[in-house]
Amino acid sequence: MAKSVSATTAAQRNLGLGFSVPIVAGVVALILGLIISDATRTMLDIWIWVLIHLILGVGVVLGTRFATASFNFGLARGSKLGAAKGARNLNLVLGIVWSSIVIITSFTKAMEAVQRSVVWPDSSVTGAVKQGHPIKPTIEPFTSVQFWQSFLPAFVLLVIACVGIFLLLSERAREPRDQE
Amino acid sequence: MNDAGGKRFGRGQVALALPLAGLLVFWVFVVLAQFSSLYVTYGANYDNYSAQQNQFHLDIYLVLAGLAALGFSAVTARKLSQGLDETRLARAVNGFALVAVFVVLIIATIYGFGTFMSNAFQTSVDSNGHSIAPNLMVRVLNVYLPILLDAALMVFVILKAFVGRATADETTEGESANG
Repeated sequence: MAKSVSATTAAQRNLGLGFSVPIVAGVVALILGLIISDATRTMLDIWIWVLIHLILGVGVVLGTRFATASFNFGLARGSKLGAAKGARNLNLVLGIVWSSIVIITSFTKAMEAVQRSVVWPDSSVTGAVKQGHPIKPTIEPFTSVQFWQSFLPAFVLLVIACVGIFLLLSERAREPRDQE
Repeated sequence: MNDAGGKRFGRGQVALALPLAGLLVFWVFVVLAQFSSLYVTYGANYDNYSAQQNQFHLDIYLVLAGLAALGFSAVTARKLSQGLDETRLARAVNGFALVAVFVVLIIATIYGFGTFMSNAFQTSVDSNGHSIAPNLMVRVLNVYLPILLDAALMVFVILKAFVGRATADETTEGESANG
C-alpha cells in the first residue's frame, strides 16, 4: 500500500515536472542571455547562443522523460491519461519548434561565417571608383580563429540539435518498465 | 530483454541516428559549397557575369553530394525501421525516417527549381550590349547535368523509400494468406 502511494506520488511529480521543466529551462536560458547581454553591453556572442540552446534542449528532453514516465505509470495502472498525454504532446511540439530553430540557426550562422571571408577595401581606397576602376573585394584565407569563433559554434549547434532530436524520440519511445 | 530484443533495440537507435548523421554531412557539404561559390562570385571574374557563367560551378555539385548523403541516410533508416518489432521506438523511427525522406524530397525540389530559375532566362551581354552565347559544355555541366542528377536522386529516394517498402508488405501479406 505504501509502495503504491509513493509510486502514485512519484507519477504526479513526474507529470508536474513534465509540464514545468521545459518552461523553467526556457526562462533560465532567457534570463542567462539577458544577464550576459547586460553585463557585457554587447550583442550575444554565438557561443552564448550555443549555451542558451543547450539549456533549452536539456529542458525539453527532461520534460519528455518525466512526461513519458508519468504516461507509462498511468498506462500500467489503467488510469485516465489526458494530462500525461498533454504533457507528452507539449514536449513534442516544443521539441519540434526548438530543433527547427536550432537547425536553421546553425545553417544561417555557417553562411554568415563564410560571407565574412569576403573583405571589402576600406573607404580610403574607394576613391579609385571615381577613376572608373571597380572595387574588388578579397577572399581571406581560412584561419583557425575563423574556425573557433564562427564555424565550430555553428557546427556545435547542429550537433546539439541532432543529439536533442535523438534523445527526444528515444525518451518519448521509452516503454513501461515491465515491457523493457 | 533477450539477445534478439537487444539487437533490435540497437538497430532502432541506429535507424534513428542515420538521418541525423546525414544532416551533419549535408551541413559540411553546404558550407564547402558556399566557400566554392565565393571564388566564383568574388574571384578573378568579379563583376563579370558572363565570365562567371562560363566558369564551372563546383558548389552546385557539392550541394547535390550533400543532398545525396542525406537522401541515402534517410532511405537506409527507413529500410532498417521495416524489420523492427512493433514497439514505440519502431513507430518513432518509422515516422522520423518518413519525415527525413520528405525533407530530402522538398530540398531536392527547391534545388532543382532554383537551378532552373537562376539559369533559364539569364543572358550574358558584351560591352556593346550584344547577347553572348554561353559555352555549351560549361552550360551543360552547370545547369543541365545537375538538374538531371537531382531528378535521378529524387526518383531513387522515392523508389527506395516507398516502392520497395510496398513490395515487401505485399510479399509478407501473401505469405500470411498462404499459411
